Amino acid sequence: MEGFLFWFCGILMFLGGLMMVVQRSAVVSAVWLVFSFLCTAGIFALLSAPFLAVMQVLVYAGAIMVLFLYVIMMLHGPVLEDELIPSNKALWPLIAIPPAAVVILLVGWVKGEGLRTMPDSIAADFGTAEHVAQLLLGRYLLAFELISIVLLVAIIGALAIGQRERKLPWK
Amino acid sequence: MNILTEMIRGWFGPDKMSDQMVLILSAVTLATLMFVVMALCALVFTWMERKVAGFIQSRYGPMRTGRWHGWAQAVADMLKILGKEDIIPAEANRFFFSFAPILVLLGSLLAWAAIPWSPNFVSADLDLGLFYIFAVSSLAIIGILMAGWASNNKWALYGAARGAAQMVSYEIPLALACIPVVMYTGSLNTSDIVIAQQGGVLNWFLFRNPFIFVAFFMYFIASIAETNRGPFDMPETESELVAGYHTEYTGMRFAFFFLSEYANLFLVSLIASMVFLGGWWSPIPGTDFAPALTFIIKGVLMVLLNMWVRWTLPRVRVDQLMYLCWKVMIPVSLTCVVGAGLWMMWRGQA
Amino acid sequence: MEITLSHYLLLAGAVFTTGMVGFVIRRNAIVMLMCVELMLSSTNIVFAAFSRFHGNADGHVFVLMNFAVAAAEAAIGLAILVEIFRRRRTVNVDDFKTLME
Repeated sequence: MEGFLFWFCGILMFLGGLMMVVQRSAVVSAVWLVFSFLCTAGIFALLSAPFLAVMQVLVYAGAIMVLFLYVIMMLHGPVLEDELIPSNKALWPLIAIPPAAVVILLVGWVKGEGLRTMPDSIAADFGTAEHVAQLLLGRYLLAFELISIVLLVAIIGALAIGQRERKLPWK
Repeated sequence: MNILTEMIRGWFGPDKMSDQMVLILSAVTLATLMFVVMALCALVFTWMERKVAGFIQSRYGPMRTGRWHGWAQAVADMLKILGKEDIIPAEANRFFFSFAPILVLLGSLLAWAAIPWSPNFVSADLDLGLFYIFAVSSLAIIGILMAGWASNNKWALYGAARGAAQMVSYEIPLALACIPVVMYTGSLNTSDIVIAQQGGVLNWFLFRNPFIFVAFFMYFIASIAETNRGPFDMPETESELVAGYHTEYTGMRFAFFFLSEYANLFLVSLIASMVFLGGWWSPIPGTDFAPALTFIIKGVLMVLLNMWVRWTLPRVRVDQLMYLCWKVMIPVSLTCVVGAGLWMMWRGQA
Repeated sequence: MEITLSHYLLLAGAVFTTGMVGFVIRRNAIVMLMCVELMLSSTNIVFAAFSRFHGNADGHVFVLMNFAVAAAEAAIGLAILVEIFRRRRTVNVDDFKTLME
C-alpha cells in the first residue's frame, strides 16, 4: 500500500512539475503547479508528517498559488504566452548540466551507500500538531519569532511596493 | 467510519473481506452518502431561503408548486436546471471552464468528511480535523478563480477576483476565532472538541469564556463572507457584475456552483454548532436522545440566522469589506485569542 | 518493493531539477518565480524524509520555516513584478535589461 501511494503521488508530483515547466500559458502552468503541490501533501502524509501535509495544502495550494493565479489573471494579455527556448544560445548547455549532475550524483550515492531503509517503528505522536508545536514553541522559539518578523517585513514591503503613488514622508 | 465499517464487516462476515476492501467500500459509501445529504440540503435550503426572503419582505414566497406552501418548488427548479442546455462560450478555455465547478464542489465535499454527526459517526476521524476542514475548503478559491478566468468575460473575472480576495482574507479571522476553543480542548480532532462540551448549555464553549463569546460573532461574520452570501456577496453582486464568476454557466455546471454554495453554508453552520454550540449535546444535561438530530437542528438554526442577516442588511462596498476584515475583525480575533488565554490562566482552567 | 529513504531523496532531486531547468528555460518572470516555489517545495521533502529516517521531528520545524519563507518570497516577488508590469507592460525577463545597455 505504501509503495503504491509513493509511486502514485511521486510520479504525479514530478509530472505536475514537468508540465508546469513545459506549458506555454502561465495560467496552465500555475494550475499544474497546484496539482504538483497537492501530490506533495500526499508524500508528506506518507512520511508520517500529517501536520505538514495539511499545512502544504493550506499554505501552498490555498494561499501562495491563489496569489500567483490572482496576479496572472490580473495582468492578463501579454503575460499569458511565453516561448520556451532561451533566446541566448549560451544557456543551452546550462539546461543539460543540472539534470545530468543530479542524476550522476544521486545514482552514485545510492550505489555507494546502498538503499537506506526507513526505520519501521516510530513514536506514536511523531509529526502530529502537538509534537511539532512543542518543538516550535520550545527549542525553536527564537526562530519562530524571527520568521514572524520576516513575514511582517514581507507584508510591509509588498504594500510599499504596490502603492500606486509614493506618499513618502520626506516628499 | 466506525459504525459503518462495523456494519459492512457484519454483513459480509468478519473473515470474508480484507481490511483494505472494507476501508474502500465504506469510503465509497460515505462519499455517496455525503453527496446525497449535500444535494438534499441544497434542495431544502433553496426552498427555505425563498420562504424566509418572502416573509422578511412581507410576502408569501413560493405557494403553488406541490400545494403545501410550495414545498416542491426546489425540486421543480432542480429539474428545470437539469433540463437546460449546457453552453460553453466559444472564447472560453474549455478544460478549465468545465473543471472549475467540480473543483469548487470538491472543496466543500472534502470538508464534509470531518464533520462529527454523532458520537459514533464521523466519516474521517482525523487528528487534525478542524485544520483539515480549513485547508481543503481553500481549494474552492482556486476553482472560483479558474471559473472566472476561463469564462473569458470581464464580469466573471471581476467576480472571481473579488471572491478570491474576500475568501483568502476572511479565512484568517475564521480560523483565529476557532483558536480559543482549540486552546481549551488541546486537540484539533472534531469529535474531541464536541466531547469537551458535555454537560448542558453552560458547558458549551460559547458561554464558558467571555472572549469566546466575542469570537463566536467574529466567526459568524467571517463565515458569511466565506460563503459569499449577503451582505458580503461581492463576488456575485447582481447589480454590478451580472452574476459574478458564474455568469457564463448554465445547466448542470451552474447547479454545481449552486450546490456548493448551500453545502458551504451548511458546512460553516455545522462548524459553528460543533465548535461553539456544543455539537451533538442537547442543552439540558441527560437528555441526549438523538445526538445527530440535535446537531443538525443547531446547524439549521444557524442557517436560518444566516438567511435572516442576508435578507435584512444592505450589501457593503468592496473597500468596506476589506476594511472590516483587516482593520476590525483580525485585530479583534487576535485580542480574543490572547484574552481567552489570560482568562483561562486567571480562572485556573489551563 | 519497499520504499526507502533513497526513493524520497531521488524524487526530491528530480523535482528540484525540474524546477531548476524551468527557471533557466522560461522567460516569463511569474513562471520563473513558480519554479523557485517548486524547488523550495522539493527541499521540504528532503527535510521531512530525513526527519522520518532519524525519528526526529526537528526537520518539520525547518519545513514550516520554509513555508513562511516561500510565502514571503511569493508576496514580495509578485509585488515587484506587478510594479514592473505597470511601468513596462511586460513581465518577460529578456525585456528587463535597461541596466545592461
